[in-house]
This record gives sequence, structure tokens and C-alpha cells, in this order.
Amino acid sequence: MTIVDSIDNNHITILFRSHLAPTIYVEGFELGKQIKLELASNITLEQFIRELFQDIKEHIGFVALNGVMERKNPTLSEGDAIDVFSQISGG
Amino acid sequence: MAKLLRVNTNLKTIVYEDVKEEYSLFGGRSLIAKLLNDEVDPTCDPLGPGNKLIICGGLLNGTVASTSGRLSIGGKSPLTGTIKEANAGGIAGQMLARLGVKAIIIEGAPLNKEWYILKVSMDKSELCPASQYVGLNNYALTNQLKHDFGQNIGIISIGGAGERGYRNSTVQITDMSGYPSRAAGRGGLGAVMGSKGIKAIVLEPNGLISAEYVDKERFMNFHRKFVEGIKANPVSGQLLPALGTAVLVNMVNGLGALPICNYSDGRWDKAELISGEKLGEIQKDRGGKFGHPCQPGCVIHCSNILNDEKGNYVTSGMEYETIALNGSNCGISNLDTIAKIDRLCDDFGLDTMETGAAIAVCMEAKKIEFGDEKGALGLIQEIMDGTEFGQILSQGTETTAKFLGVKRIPTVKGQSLAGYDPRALKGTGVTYATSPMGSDHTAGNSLGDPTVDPYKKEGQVALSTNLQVAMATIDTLGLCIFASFCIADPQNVGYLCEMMAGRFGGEWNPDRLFGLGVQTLALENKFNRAAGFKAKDNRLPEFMYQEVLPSTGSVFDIMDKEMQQAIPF
Repeated sequence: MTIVDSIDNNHITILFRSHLAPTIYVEGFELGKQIKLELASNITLEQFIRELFQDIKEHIGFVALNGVMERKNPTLSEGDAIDVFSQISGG
Repeated sequence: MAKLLRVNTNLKTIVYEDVKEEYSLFGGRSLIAKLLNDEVDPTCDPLGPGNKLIICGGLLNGTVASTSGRLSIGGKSPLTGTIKEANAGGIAGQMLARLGVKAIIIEGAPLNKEWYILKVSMDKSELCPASQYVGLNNYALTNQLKHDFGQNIGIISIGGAGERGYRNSTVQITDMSGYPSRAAGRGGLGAVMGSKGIKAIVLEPNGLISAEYVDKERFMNFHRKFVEGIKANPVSGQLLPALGTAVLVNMVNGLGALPICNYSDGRWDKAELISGEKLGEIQKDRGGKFGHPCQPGCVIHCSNILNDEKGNYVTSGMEYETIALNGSNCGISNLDTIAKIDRLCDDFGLDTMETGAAIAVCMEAKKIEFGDEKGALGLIQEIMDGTEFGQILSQGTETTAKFLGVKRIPTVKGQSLAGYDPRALKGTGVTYATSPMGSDHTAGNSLGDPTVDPYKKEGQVALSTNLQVAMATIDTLGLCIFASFCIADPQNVGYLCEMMAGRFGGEWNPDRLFGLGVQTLALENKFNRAAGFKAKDNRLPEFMYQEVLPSTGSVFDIMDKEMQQAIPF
């Protein structure tokens, strides 16, 4: 799956893994499986999350960028790893 | 009408009692709290004849409600000295209901250290001599009991740890595959069962009793909607069936709350190696299973069956807590080693969490090194062999740490913390400190709550209070914690209220429903106060207030005065 701005031809490749199924089709997606995605180079984290989870954002616990909980809205870079975690408690 | 089954192992008497009307809306955790307040001196010796072991289902046990077959086990804890309720899945809860038993109350203690199997059948129970089973651990015991009593029995048992009165001992319950892998783990209740001379409780599969409903159609209609709510929740409906609770490793690591090397950090570069995702990948090639239900009728299927590299069964029900406490907290990054630990603990009847925390303090004391897998397994072998140091370990993390001179002791009221560093998840920290159970994450875990910042103190006391009320309610109904995720949606709370009205009659609204939880907590606090506990006991370990957690840069900064506002019941 490529999420690319049709005007901007620069792409980055990121690693994406999620505990929530996106609300749009993402090729190769499986819960918990890390996949590569091509994105537009100037995409921010919030834009990415909104694109993939627009209807179910309230189920997101938090997002980790490169293994660390991310609460700001950085522009994504080549090789970034995004993990989307749901609200959960364990046992 | 279900009965109480009262067993006295001193007098060797078994009596079926009618349930008093005042107990009719008590079940699971609330029934344990009520009975212990009514019948047990809170200052009694937990391993003496004055304590009682109570085994019961929740208020919805015996109905078709999904996950309502949780079994609660309770008494005064020999580990914490507080009231204790530990619940587990497996098949015994529903079997008990079908046998017409609301609760088993085991009291007294054998005069001459005799051992018994309590056999519960339809309308009849008996104490069978059990000397031939003494010394068998849970897996061998299960096989022998099935051979002797029938393949389709349910079993509630103790291993060597409970026999010897170890304060970190469990009560194990057989699951749907017949493995004794569901643990009522925390607080040493296995030792209480052992002190009563009960090696195992065998439940015969000839039960015929169904729950009575005031309005069965109403119950069934709203139960269907409640189940849709469970399935619609992304966690209970998709994530847990796919990957189980092990999926929490990466999440908690991302939060910076994963216990690393006796809570010395919250983030680990090897977390991926012990993650649920990694576990799924390994088990795919070995024929292991995810999406395994532990009890009939469960729609969540969060459990697992794990095989070794040869494809042979090792253990089942290996949860996040076991992985965190025996993995990252011990610097161990090998899932196979952790699975071996899980198996040994289930078999011998040890709390995996308390065991992992105790091993980690041994590592901090340099008895073995962090990451020493062989050393960790060796320490568990010492517990099983009953060596001098093994007996120290068997008394739990706090005793072990004090013996070794370790200052950083991760316990509250004598019970080890769970797999969430409270400096990075402060709401859970409040729960650890204030829960009547001692340090118990299932009493009210704030992980992923969107209303507070987990690193900041604001809102955490109120959040923990709300979560503790909710979980005490769920534990009273006898539902699984994972069925509770959907009650974040008020609509599903409404369905639960309708189910209660269908089962018991009367008007039910959220206030009345969660009032069950408030009532439970009030009774538990009352017992603990009478046992000698005070507000000053509601504190985290000292080092959590002073030592900065490197992953988040935070300390635990919710002070005693604020903490006192939690669960003010």
C-alpha cells in the first residue's frame, strides 16, 4: 500500500505495525505484523493516523514512534517504525 | 436453588446449607468479602484453623453469559495478611454451578496432617483419603485423578508448593484441554488450601442445575447484545483472540513501563524478542495455538497452547505478566526459557509473578546475574527441592530481598508488583498501593486510558478509584476482565444492567450495578482495617518515589495524603 501525495513524488518507506485494524485497506496488513509502507515524504504522524484510522481513533491507546510513545506530531522520516496500540489492560 | 457446601476438615463434616437471603446478591469476590467478614477473625493466622478457603462463582455463574465461568478463590492471604480474592478461568466454575453449589467453604484443619480429595457430585460430596496423591505436582496429579475419577472431571488442585505451605503458592484449575494451567495465582491461597488438608477438589460432570431467571427472555436478548459489544471492541474482539495478552510487551515497552532488571528501567532494546508478535511467529512453525478459550462459552479466546522446538506441548495460558516478570524483569530474552518457567510454576503451583520478582531480586543481589536463564531455572528447582534458600524464595519477593539485603524491594503489602512500572503508569501505581488485595494490577489497571497522562499525577487517584470499582463489580459478576473492556461504552453497561434484571429481577441501573463493586471494596477495606492495616500501608516501595525511571524521567509522586482519597469506602 502506498499513501502518496499525487503532487509530491518523493516517498519514504516506514515500518508499520498495529494492534487495531485500519479502517482503510492496507495490503499485507495483519494484526501485530510489521509491514513496509511507502508514504509521501512530508507526511506527519497525525496525518498518517487520521488516514488509516479515521473512524476508530477513540480506540487508539497511543502511538509509538521508533519504540517510544509519541505525543507530538513529527514529520515522518525514512525508516521510522510506527506502532499503533489499542486501549487494553492485561493479565 | 444453589447451596453453600461447608466442609470442615477437622471434624470431617460436609454440610449442604441453604443460602441466606442476605447473601443472594453476593457472588465471586463480593461473596468472599462478605463471608470472610462474617465468619473469619481478621487477626487469625492465615495458615491456621481459623482461616477459611472459599471457592465460588460469580453472580452470573451458571447462566449462559460469555466468560461468566470465572472461579473466585479467597481467604486471608498468608503472603499479604490482607483479604485475598484470586480468580481464574477454566472449567470448574461452570461445573460448580451445574452441581448446584454457590460456594464451597473449607474450614478447620486436620488434626494429624491428613490429606483429602474433596469429591463434589450432584447432591453428594465426600472427603476421600488422598495420601497416595501427596507429592504429585499438578500435571501428574491431574492425570492420576482423571484415571481414578473419570476423564471428564473438573479439578481444582495444589502442587508441592501448596502442600508445603509456601506463601507464593497457587491453586490451579483445569482448562478446556484438561491442563492444570489456569492459576488463582496471587497471595498464597495454595498454602491455605494445603493447610486445610485438601490436595484437590474433584468436580463430577453429572451436574444438572441451570441458573434460575426472573425473565429469561430479557436476559438472553440483552446477553446477545452484550456479546456483540465484546466482539465489536477491537481488543476483545480481534487483538486478544489473535495474539493473546503477550501482545502487551511491545505496548508497555513503548510506554516505557516494562519492568527491566528489577524495575531499574522501563524500556528494553530486547523487548521484541519476548513480544507476543514474536511468540506468534515462533509458535506458528511449532503447531502451537492462539485463540484458545479457557472456558466453555467464551467468545474472546485469548489463551494459548505453546510447544517446544520439537512440537511437543510445554505450557498453556502463558500471559503477559509471566513474560514481563520472568523475562524483561530478569533480563531474560528467551521465550522458550520463560515458557519452561511457566510450566514449572503451574506444575509445582507457584505464582509466576511472585517467582519472577523474587528471581529478579536474587539477580540484583548478584546471587545470579541478570539474564542468567540457567540460574533462574536453578532457583526454581531450589524452590521445588525445598533447599534452604529455596524455602526463603518460597516466602515471596519481600522475604527473599530482606534475606539478601536488597533495598529495592518491589512489593506492596508483601505482594510483588505486576508488569507495569508505576512511575510510568501512575494510575496503576495508585491501584497497586491502595487495592485491598495488595499490589494487584487486575484490580484496576490504567493502561491505555485516554483521559489522563500516564506520566503525570493529575487525575490518577480518581481514575484508579473508578477502575477499582469497575473491576470489583466484574469480579463479583464472575466475568473475565477482558469482557469488561466493552463497558467503556455505556450502551454495554446498559446491557449488563438488563441481564442482571433478567437474572435477578428488579430495576438495575449503572449506580446499582457498580454499587456491587463499591460494596465489595468497603467490605474488603473493613476486613483489612480489622486485620491491622492502616493508611500508611497504602504506599509504593520507597525507591519508586526517589529513583528516576530512565525511560520516562519520572518518579512516583502521588503522596500519601492524595492516596488516601482512593477508594474511600
